[in-house]
Amino acid sequence: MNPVGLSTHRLPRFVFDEICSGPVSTAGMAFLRRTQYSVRKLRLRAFLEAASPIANRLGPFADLDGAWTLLSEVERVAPDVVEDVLMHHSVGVWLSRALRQVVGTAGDATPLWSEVGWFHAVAAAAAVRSGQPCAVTVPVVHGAVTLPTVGAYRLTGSFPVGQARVVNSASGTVVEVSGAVRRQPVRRHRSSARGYAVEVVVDDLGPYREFGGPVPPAPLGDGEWDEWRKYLDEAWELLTARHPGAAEELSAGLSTVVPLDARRDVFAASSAAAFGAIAMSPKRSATELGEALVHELQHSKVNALLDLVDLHTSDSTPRHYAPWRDDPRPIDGLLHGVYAFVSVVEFWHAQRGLAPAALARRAEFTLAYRARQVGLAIDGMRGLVELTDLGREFVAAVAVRLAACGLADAAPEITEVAEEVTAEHAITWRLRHVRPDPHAVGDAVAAWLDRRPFDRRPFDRRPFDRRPFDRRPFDRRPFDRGEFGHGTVVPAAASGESLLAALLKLRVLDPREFDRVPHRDGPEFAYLRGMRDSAAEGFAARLHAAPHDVAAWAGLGLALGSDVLRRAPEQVRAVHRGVAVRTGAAPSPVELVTWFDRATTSTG
Amino acid sequence: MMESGGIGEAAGMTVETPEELSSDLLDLTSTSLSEMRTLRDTVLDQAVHRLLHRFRLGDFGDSVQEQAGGRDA
Repeated sequence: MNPVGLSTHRLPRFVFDEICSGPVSTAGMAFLRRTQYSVRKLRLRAFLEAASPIANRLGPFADLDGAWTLLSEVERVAPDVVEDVLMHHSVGVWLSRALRQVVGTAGDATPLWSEVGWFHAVAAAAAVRSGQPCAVTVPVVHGAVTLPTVGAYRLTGSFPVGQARVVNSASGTVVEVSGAVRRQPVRRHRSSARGYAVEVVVDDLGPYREFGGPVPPAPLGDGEWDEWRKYLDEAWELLTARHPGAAEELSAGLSTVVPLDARRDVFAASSAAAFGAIAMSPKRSATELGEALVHELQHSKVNALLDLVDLHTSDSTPRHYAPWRDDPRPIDGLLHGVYAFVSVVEFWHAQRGLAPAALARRAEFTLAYRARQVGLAIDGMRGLVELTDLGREFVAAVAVRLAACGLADAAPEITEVAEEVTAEHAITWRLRHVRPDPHAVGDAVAAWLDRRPFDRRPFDRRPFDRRPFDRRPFDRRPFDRGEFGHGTVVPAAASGESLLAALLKLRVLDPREFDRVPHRDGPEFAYLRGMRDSAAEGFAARLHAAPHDVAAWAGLGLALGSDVLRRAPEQVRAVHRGVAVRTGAAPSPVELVTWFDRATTSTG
Repeated sequence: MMESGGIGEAAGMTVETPEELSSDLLDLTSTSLSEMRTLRDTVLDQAVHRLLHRFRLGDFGDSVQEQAGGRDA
């Protein structure tokens, strides 16, 4: 403790252990929330410091000290109200955006004066909640005055209207503006079952509810609201019955559900700036909703943990392979992914045998697919020298949890497809984002032209065994510092699923729909029929016409069961091109791959 | 990464114990907003300035984790 009494948080070991092990207790979640309140207050203090010198650019919202004073006065009589307002998810998102504005790093064209001015709406919300008299000028955003935790006052006058006055007195709250004002209170819903309850804000009004720039209110219709409540109740019933640990941590940690438009291609989302808030599109079942809640809360836990301790020493450069993403990711992304997805694996593991018949195959596939992805990511993380001891402990615990979800009794055709789709994704990712070592390529081209065996030693720089992750010390060979294998990661814009991967998934998830797919020719269908030689010939023919065809290389890798194409497809493709450049004729892809594989498999 | 807090207990004397892990995150839960505005405290000032420096460098601590077509977590 320093002379004026400030100290730092200390993370109880039991909370860290709980986080590693999975569900966190009520006490643990309360601790994480408390630390997030410190984060929020520090950011607010930084905001005031950075915004005050530019107050003259804020027009009607220049009196930041006045807003701070109002907030302080409310805190003196109702500290819980101020905490509730400041911990509101939209305040967290707004604070981050307002800080960007005042330090000059705003990411979009939202006006500075209006966005920074929302601080007055935060102060007014606290005053209204506590009954503190006030008269505050606040921004009108998308035709509404929104007070976090209170609700929205939608203006019906002509637009644009940039500001309005909120007057709170003993007789009530009035928004002074020309024209009618329609008040819409914050929606709340409480579900309870088996002694557990969860109470959430269902935010369809707040401008920052989607974790980005201001969006208009989009109040749910009566039918939509009924459906959200129904699924929330049913999901809570399921979670308390089958996943009591997850239910306990959701009870203590989930604060907000933000309904997203069903047309948006977003299953669910969360933000590091909005602890306990989850945005999601409408779900088709309580099971799907339950999975999304469990998954997304894991991100809040990881974000809170990363605010407390360092799990790695790396920067945020995206240079790593994450099996659930098409693009390279920073280490934070890997940590988030393995942690969130192992909870999904656990969820579906506990749900085995319970899914309705229509969802049974999807449930089984999701379990196998996510387990394979997490396993592959953990294998990749074994050599990350940037992980701290705590980071290694964290990843090791995920590995232990994954191992506990054995798949021994899973249907072989399901696990096989999960493995194939994951392998195909990894090959595609490397072909898109990894540039091979030019010296290794040159050596291989020369060896091929001299009809010498391929020298596999460069490949041995990177460990590629499949031992389960455990608590042994990490291999600290420096293969992943800007490199993956012996190539360099250079993020490319390309993304998207291949036809082969889509067909593999469709056949296992929806066989009837698969049977209706037209034009059933080409190497993909040969592969699906088990005609691997024919598939390899087809992919090779495609490469003859288009040597950079990523999907064809990946398909060839699966058809041939090639070790080298799984490990370093970018090398093979580069050598293929190098030989073509040197001789004027590209080698046979099948012969080239066989030549590589002979070397990588003959000596162990 | 960790929120820019302060150097903490006795300025750099943070100690790991079997029961607790040290953190650089300042505990402001019991500090009133009124105190936070007027407080002239080196540790708090340093934490604020570190945070602002991070923002100027583009580290906003507001990453969004999203499950969508091809872009999970």
